Amino acid sequence: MLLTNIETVPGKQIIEHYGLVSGSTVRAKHVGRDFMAGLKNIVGGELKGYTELLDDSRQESTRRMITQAEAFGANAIVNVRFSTSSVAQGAAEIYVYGTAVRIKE
Amino acid sequence: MEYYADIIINFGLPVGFIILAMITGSILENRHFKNIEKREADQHRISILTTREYPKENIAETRMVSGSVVVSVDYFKRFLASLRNIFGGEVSSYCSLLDRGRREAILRMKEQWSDADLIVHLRVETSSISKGNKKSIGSTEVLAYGTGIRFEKQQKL
Amino acid sequence: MKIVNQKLDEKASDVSSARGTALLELRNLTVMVCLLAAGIFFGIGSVVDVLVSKISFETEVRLFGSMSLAIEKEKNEDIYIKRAETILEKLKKNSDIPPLNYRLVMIDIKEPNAFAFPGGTIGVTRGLMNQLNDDTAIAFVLGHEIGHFHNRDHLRGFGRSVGMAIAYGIIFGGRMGDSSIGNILNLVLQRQYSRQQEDKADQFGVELVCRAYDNVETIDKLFKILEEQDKMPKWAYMFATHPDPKSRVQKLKQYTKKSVTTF
Repeated sequence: MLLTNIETVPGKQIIEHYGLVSGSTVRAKHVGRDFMAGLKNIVGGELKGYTELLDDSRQESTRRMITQAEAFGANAIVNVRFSTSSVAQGAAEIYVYGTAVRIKE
Repeated sequence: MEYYADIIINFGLPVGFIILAMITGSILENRHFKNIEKREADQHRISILTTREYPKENIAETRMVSGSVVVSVDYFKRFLASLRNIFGGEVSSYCSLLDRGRREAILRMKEQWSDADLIVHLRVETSSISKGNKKSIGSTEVLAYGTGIRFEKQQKL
Repeated sequence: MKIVNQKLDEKASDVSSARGTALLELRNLTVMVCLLAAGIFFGIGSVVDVLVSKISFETEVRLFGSMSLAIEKEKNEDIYIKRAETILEKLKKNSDIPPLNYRLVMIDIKEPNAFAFPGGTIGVTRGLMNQLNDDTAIAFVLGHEIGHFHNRDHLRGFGRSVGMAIAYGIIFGGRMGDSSIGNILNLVLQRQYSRQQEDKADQFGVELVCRAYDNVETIDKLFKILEEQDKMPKWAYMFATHPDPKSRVQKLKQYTKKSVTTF
């Protein structure tokens, strides 16, 4: 599956548009990580646990979006957008959406 | 007697409340999902793209469309989420909340102008109303917006 | 530009919705919370036990002497206290009792109860003293509390509650999980543990009284008082600190039999 965040797949011709595909997840770290992040917050710098958490969440939601695109029979997703929200405390909420298309191989 | 009262207040009430929320919450959620599925089938005619591209010929009308919804989780799911927060991993009770919210918002956007044939450049935004307030977590606003296009009748998509 | 309008199958459209997973999630989380709570309980328990075994009676008096002084002593001219103090003196002759600064304090509460405070202060409630009009019974109550001092239950209880408060504050802090599963389990474990403590303290108390007084028969009177308290249903004892009076009395009877044959 080819993912781009522009309108097209450069060098390829889009032959069919299938429409919106999306995936989302809400994930949390265990309290130990939350606690360590709280301490790290005092000195600043990268919160590795949370970087990891967001990475995992993005991967998982992208995987879900790809599942939907596969169900359409698409072989690429264009104009992919990530969006983050925070409803639950200490949890990462990732929503990813794009347009499933078929490109000429 | 005080003893019974103590036990009931300390354990019976929260447990009863959670069970009640679990039953009503799952009934309502199921109903909402059924409703979403039915409307998705009804509105299926309208295609949605996130790209700016669109068929350039035979455009009859263009209009910006949007739909929004504020949804909240039930007490039981909030309880599950609070436990899930301890161990980490996917907070599945919020997943269903956000999924419902987004699908509902997209449906409302479609329903806003059901004569449209195509919606392009869709954007979905999520915001939380009670952000920062620890005690009232779990309600979220989803906004979906895009540009709707209606083609002349002879246009086949 | 060709737009193909296909229908997604249910599985694909529900890929992010986590529909119908709530019960499974509940089951998994319940198991995990129970394991966690049990782990914390036994972990902190064993740490506290090791720490407490390192604190000698002298250190305890030094550490908590001032704390027990802070407990009010105004009611000490009470006739009940005077009587109990003579009994305490008699019990103190036994070499088995830990070397602490024993003090008796009357607490103005109707419910019959007695407490062991760190440093050697024994608190008895007015309700208890009103019910007990027999020296042996009072001696047993005091012996039971001295048993707690001997087994360091007051220090362990103190350490445990501090440790638990910290651990639970970090783990469940500010979340709703704190009022439910983990807490219930913790309570049940705690009760089980304190029942064992009470049993041991009972045993110590009986032995102490049997050595100080020769007539075991008077203890039967105490059993009767304890049996009369038996008004709660059995299931409620799952949450109660002290064991079910009936089973307590039975255990005590066994101890007395042993004590009589030994001494």
